[in-house]
Amino acid sequence: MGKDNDMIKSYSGPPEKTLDYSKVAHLVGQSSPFHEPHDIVTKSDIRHWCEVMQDSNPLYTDEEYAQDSRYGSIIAPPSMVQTWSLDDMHDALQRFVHANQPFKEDPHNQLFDIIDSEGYNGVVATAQEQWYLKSIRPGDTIRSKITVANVSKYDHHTRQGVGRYVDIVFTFINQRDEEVCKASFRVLKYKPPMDTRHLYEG
Amino acid sequence: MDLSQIQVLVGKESGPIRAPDEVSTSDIRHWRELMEGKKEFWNTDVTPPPMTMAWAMDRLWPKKVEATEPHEQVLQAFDDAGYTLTVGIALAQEYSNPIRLGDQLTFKVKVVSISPTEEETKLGKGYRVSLLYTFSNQAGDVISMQTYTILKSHRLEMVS
Amino acid sequence: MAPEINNVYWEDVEVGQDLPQKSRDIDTTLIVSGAIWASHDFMPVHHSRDFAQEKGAPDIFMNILTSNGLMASYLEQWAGPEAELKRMQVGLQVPNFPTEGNKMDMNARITRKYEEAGNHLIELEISGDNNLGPHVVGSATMALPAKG
Repeated sequence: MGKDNDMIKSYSGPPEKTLDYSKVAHLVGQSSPFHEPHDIVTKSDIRHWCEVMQDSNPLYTDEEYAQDSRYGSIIAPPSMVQTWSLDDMHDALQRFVHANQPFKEDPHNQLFDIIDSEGYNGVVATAQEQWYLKSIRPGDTIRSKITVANVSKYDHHTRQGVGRYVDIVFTFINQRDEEVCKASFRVLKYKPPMDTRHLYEG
Repeated sequence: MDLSQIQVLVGKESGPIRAPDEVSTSDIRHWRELMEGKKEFWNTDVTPPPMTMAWAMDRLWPKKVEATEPHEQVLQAFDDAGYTLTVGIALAQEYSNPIRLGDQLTFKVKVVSISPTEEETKLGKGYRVSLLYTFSNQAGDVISMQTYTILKSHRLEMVS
Repeated sequence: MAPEINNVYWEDVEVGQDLPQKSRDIDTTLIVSGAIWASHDFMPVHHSRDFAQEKGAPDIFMNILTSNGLMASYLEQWAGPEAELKRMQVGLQVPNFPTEGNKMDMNARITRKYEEAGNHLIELEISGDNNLGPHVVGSATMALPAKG
């Protein structure tokens, strides 16, 4: 037995860094301003969505049918709502290819910066839920804001590695400030296995 | 239709085909962002004329299965004969009227010429097919005439 | 001329009922047009194979908005235009890659049937499975027309 114990080396790597929740606590509950969409809602974008989804619902593309419906005009598929909150092409490429994040001051972006800097660079979207509150029509301007709703106070041990869950909430409004959709998004920010590999060495 | 018979389609024109979308701010802006880069202000009142052909593109779904128009029959005949590859090799556009936001375009396609026999081209052997597109707006004004030439071939063979 | 439309009525469905399965082929065209053309998502892992491989994925893969949209359309196509989608919840597991012959089988089961604030509602469990296993698992709430 003693012989076996001699085989076990004492751990001599750097102490495992773990996020101190107090560094991010001030961001929880904070919201970004409402951001403008890249485009207003158009019939052409609705058609493109429906053709990809192979969705033949006449409320979305058949003007005559939609006029006689309870809506009185074409509406957009509700699950399309988030498309108007995404970056335009330029900003997306800046963000994903050139590591130049737009809207750095937004609380959720500040939060992700802090969490990244603590070594939780991995990101995986784990769940999304959307509540559709009002119909969206061609001509609408859909603005959105993001609120940091919750951050795990302690590390979770997940399949991806050690990580923290971050819950963010999207609020979508139209040009009359009516809320058209609320959505929650849970992401896991985790330490890629590379970063914890030293624990198992020796 | 057999390849030996397709010359009878030269000079034939399709009926008016309705563009799947009316001219929208989003489509104009997408084109401009790709071609011109990011801007603070986008002119979406008038479309960039080179964009015209975008409104003549087929739907993604449902796919049109039957070749009913003359130009569709030409392309189908080549596909059936194993000339499955289509490569655009020339486009000549003339613009006579601006395309404005909200316009609903229609277009007709005329088969202008087809190589009488297989040709040797820089891209390999094949047939050239020239199509004349005539675009009109909802008022009936012709806004653009475009000659689009394609090569139908079995495969690309780059000749240096 | 309105197309032929099938409407499902609240009275005609019951808890435990399975919706007929539908499948979509998962190919490069669907993934790229879903990301860029439909959902305006320019993250390059959804359209550039080189970029995706550089980031450690074997190939491009479907974005979450397209997965969510496919499941939403699957439900709406079954229920008809009188129905209203009220809520969608999805979690993603194995990605949708454009591998040869890959397809996503979409299924749903009614788990609850109730009335609330004048709406005739159902809740469903939904799932989409590809050649690697479960891609999307989630739930939805819809209002169906009632015969009244």
